[in-house]
Amino acid sequence: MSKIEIKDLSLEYGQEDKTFLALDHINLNIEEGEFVCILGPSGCGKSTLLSTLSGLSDPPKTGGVYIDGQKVEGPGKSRSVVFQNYSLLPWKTAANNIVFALNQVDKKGKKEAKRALALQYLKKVGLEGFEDKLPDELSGGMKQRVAIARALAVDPEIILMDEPFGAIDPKNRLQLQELLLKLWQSEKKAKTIVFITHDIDEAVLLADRIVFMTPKNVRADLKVEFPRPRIKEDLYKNQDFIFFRNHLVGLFYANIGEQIGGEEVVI
Amino acid sequence: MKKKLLSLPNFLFIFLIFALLTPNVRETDSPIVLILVIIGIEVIYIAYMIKNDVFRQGKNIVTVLFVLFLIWQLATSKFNLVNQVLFPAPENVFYVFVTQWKLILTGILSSLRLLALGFFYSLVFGISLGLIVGWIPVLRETIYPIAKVLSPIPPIVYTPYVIALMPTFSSASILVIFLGIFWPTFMNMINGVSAIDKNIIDSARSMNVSTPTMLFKIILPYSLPGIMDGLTISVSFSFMILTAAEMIGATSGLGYFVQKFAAYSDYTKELTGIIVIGVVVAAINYLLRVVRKLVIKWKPLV
Ligand SMILES: Nc1ncnc2c1ncn2[C@@H]1O[C@H](COP(=O)(O)OP(=O)(O)O)[C@@H](O)[C@H]1O
Ligand SMILES: [Mg+2]
Repeated sequence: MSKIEIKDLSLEYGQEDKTFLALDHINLNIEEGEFVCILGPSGCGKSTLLSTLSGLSDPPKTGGVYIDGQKVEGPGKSRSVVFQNYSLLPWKTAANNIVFALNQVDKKGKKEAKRALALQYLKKVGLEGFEDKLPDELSGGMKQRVAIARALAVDPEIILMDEPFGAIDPKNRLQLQELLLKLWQSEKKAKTIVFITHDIDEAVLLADRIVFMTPKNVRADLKVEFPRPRIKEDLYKNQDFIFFRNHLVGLFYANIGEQIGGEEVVI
Repeated sequence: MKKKLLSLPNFLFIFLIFALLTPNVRETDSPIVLILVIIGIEVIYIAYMIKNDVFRQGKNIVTVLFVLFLIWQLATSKFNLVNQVLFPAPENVFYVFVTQWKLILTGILSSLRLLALGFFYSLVFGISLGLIVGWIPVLRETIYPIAKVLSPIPPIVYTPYVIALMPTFSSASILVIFLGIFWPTFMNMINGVSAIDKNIIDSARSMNVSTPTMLFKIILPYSLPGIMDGLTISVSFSFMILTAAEMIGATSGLGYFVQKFAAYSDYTKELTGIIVIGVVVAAINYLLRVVRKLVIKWKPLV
């Protein structure tokens, strides 16, 4: 049994006569400890698919998502989510944002212990000394570090990330990508990560497996064989990488005539 | 520093004190209270001026204030250019603080007590019911349209009825203030809940928060800046309602004070009452601003 099983999943937005089919009979398995990137042009249903995994979506029209064989009916302790827009509580400090998340999974534990844990995770993401800053006082990259620390601190089995670095400038993005890989590899029992992106290079750098989506569906499911640790500069010199990348670019453009129109495509 | 001391308000200050200390055409009470008030304003002004480099707004306000005092004093006491009964001298108006201090003080306390109670209940109920109704779709769809019809009815319309209905005047004014503040708070809260940043809600939901946590630890703090802004308007508004109610049926309070002397055509004391009401409202608003600064250290997103 796979960690995550998506079986015959369809999801519709809207009500009664005005409906829009966002996911159309999707089947996909994700293994424990796997780092999977879901890649695809914007509007193809990546966020919708992730919301069915996090349990934030409305009930599916057909099929469902199963985690350890259990059908997902709503959010749960086993999963944490990192969103593109950080989604920190603006009135809470970095440390207290993490403590708040800890309180939701553990109602009893001591306050001091939770704060200590929060500080420990802030240190892991390179934010030692920033624990008492409000989100307003942090840069976008730092906010996303806090969000990652918050997602890890609750010790979930699965981390769901929806274009977490999409709003971050290229230099900081690379740092965050490397940080995420480091954290993922340093865990004793590797966490399962489902990471959404529309950035091909990001997907190749991070993923064990790339699931390429076209509107409403999965078009391709590709293993990424490059050895870790992957260095971005070295990858660019690698012929296999260039070949693989061109293949993905081809998938992007195969779809463009019919779908994208005026929309931005980041390659 | 020297240049600052030579500013317009300081000249006006000297001029005002001079006018108050020199003989008048009209006979007045002792100018001592008015002089103390003016010195008080000047002291605050100078203190602010020393602390802040840019202080144009304060300077303008003090200038206008002093000019008004000056015109008032010159037109009444000094040259007696206007009707004595309708335009009492400022010395007399402020001297009422000495002769009537007990009545004024009990009036302020009595009004503030009713205000605080009505305010407290309407905030507690307005905020918590607004949160719940705003959050639960069925309740919102049913109650919001009804509330939209009821809320714009001005409280002054039913004030006499409420006073007749309730056993005591206190309970009646508390109810009137309650109704006056409850509706806007309740409606604001419902609107606030539906306008809240969806990302924050999603993030909280993904942490599997309970409904009370969602309402009181996410949506309430998120809405707090808006609530605090609304309070400033509500305070002035409820003070208006209260003084209006007091003018109809009270035996104490600032509205009563004003009403009582208006009935005797004692416009001197009535003006004193009006000034007191203005100062009390300004003081409450100032206090709210200080509280807002202390409580809300973060910038709201929208
Ligand atoms: N709440 C919603 N109601 C109706 N349509 C939606 C909603 N959310 C997304 N959609 C539509 O579903 C499709 C997929 O959206 P989304 O999952 O956000 O795509 P992606 O994350 O790949 O950019 C889009 O066409 C979008 O317009
Ligand atoms: Mg998306």
